[in-house]
Amino acid sequence: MPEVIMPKMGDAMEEGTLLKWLKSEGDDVSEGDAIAEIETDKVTMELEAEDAGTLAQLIADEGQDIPVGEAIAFIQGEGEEVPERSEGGGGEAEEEAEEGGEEEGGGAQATATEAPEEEETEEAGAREADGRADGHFRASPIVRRLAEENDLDLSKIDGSGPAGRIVERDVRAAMESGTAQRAEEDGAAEEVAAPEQPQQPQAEMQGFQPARLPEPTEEPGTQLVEPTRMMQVIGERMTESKQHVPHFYATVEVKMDAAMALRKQLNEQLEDEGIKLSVNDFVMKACAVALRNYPNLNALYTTRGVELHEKVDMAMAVALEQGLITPVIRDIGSKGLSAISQESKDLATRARDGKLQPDEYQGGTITVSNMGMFGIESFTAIINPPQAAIVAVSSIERRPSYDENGEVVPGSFMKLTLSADHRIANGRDGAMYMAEVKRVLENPVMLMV
Amino acid sequence: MAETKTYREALREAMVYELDNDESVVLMGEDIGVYGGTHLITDGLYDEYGPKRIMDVPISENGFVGAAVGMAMMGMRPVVEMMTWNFSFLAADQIIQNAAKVRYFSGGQVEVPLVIRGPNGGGVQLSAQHTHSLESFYGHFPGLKVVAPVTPNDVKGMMLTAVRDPNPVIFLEAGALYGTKGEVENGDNAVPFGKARIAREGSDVTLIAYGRQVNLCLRVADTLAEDGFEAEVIDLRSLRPFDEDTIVESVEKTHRVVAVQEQWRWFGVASEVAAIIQDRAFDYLDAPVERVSGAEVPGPYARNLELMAFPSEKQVENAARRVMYEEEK
Repeated sequence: MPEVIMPKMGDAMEEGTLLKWLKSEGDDVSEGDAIAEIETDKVTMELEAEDAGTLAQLIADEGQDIPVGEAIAFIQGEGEEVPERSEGGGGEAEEEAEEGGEEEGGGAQATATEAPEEEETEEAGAREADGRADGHFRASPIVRRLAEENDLDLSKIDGSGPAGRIVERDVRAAMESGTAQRAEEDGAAEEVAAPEQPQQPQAEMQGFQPARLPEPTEEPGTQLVEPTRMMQVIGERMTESKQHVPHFYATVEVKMDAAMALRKQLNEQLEDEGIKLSVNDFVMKACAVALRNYPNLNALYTTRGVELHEKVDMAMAVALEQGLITPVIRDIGSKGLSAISQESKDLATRARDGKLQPDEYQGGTITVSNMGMFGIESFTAIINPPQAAIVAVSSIERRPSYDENGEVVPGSFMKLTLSADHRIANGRDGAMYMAEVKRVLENPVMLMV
Repeated sequence: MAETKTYREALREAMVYELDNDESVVLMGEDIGVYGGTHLITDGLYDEYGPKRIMDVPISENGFVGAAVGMAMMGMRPVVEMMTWNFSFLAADQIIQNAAKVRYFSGGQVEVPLVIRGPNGGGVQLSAQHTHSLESFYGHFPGLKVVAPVTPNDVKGMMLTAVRDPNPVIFLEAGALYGTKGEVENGDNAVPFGKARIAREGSDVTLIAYGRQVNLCLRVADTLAEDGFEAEVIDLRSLRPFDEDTIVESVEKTHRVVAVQEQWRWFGVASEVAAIIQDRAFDYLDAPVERVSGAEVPGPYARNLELMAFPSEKQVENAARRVMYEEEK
């Protein structure tokens, strides 16, 4: 009988939250029916049935976090019986998973077949403390739990308990010294298996070691907020980036009068079509146009070298209530301003509603982050790995300036700051690229060619 | 408002409160009237409430408990004193076969709002026949509620709840502690059944007990604190119904448990505690749950042997050290 599993909707996804069942046990479902709402670290989406039949058993509860590949329900075809949930029933479960895999295509198959094996290993481990395939050791239940939560390799920890049992204090000590982090090869191997995906930097979070944190004071007037999934992911990725990507920065000030005049002119023409170009549309387009001569800023840092991209897939940072997300405008260089404007508005709206599909926010080649609407004079952004660069866009400021005759005239100015990965590009590339962006924006007809 | 009172005074206060509150409440027992009670729990009540409410009964446990069951079935609320719980074996047939089952047999039509109370456990050299802890014996039978308060405040509050409960309640008093003092809330301080009390908060190990072993655990916690270990002490106080959540939450915090009971190890409350923890908090355990229990012998008379037959501070302390993987002392 087909299992409904928690799908893998992105490279970094390890588990998802079942928000809500949209169908009840016993309901008839057809292929394509939405049966549940699930939430990943990035989006909320509906999970569709891949088989027709009766929704025989809802295994997961609402609000529960479920590892990718684990069953959350069964769909019962005619004449089929609901399998017992004795987890050891490996044969049947594996068959099921393979069946599901064929229908879903290669990517999902890997997930579906891996998961049950893992589960089995773990079970075996819990049954006989000292008989695991990956090394012989005893460990208390809390130790196994901590190891799983913190991605620790227990074979690297010496147990101080009776008969060498690994006990909590051993794990705490190992966590403090960082000696038991799981090896990085596992992560790398997975990435090679999916070459068409943009490469995450090697061992995405595994190098991440939180500093020793203080206990909450719990004093009156304080409030303890648990980080959401998204806050955790952003925190881990940004820490990873700031710790492992050597950033350098380059700022230019762009005189925006010509671009603003063109924008006004175009918007008057486009009013009837209901299109209103934003300053950010101009900046994104300019950043893309300028990349033509600086391909190493439109690049990804991968396991086997720097991958230069011809097409510019531009990610744009969109602030959400509890975090941010970076939907991607594909091949932005080939698109006109009005197309960019419509697409960015649509992506931003759906991003705020949590309705983006995974392929809409994965795989950018460069990012633009705009805080101009907040009156920010200038800021620097953190690179979004594995990309080489991110451009920070600040507010337009109107102030007195000199024209070519030395007369004081009003002018509109905006600061753009590049953050670039020094492993990929050097200062000169960054400086020349930003000068090119400035030139294009100050001569905005360049955006048209 | 609270005042310092002895366990005995707090217990008497609860019964007086209910005698005043509810005309159907009567006290029954051997020598509880004219004599004032073997343990002076009911001292003075006969003069105030007279022989119809404070009833002396013959030395015939099965007889007077049976009478009390019948009175309860007819709508009265008898509170029966067992001079000690050791004598309840004689009344076990009435307690187990009738009190616990009438409601069930009658399809819920007939309730038995009966309280049987008295000192439980040993520790005062009464020898083998008078040294029993009967919580797991009575706790075994569906239909009975079993509580074992240890603080003066709880003995009052739980007696109020016991008298008001529509079911038979086995009320196990810490007989060795009738003279101990503590703060007791004035007025109606009814303590609900099925809710354990955290007697001391801690983070390194949880000591779980009830009755007078709670006080022993608190002393052990002080000793452990001298070495920098913070023990949490949980007073179960209500054994049926049982508060699983409080012990599970504590284990999730401390990861280590010692369960202490005065009764014998086999089929005891501590075994039940260990079973619940492995069932509901397995993934939080850092060590097997340790049980500290009475020695598997009939209660000795000789003081030195009696001390050895009950859980000692040293035993509990060392059990706590073992679950923390620390050297025993």
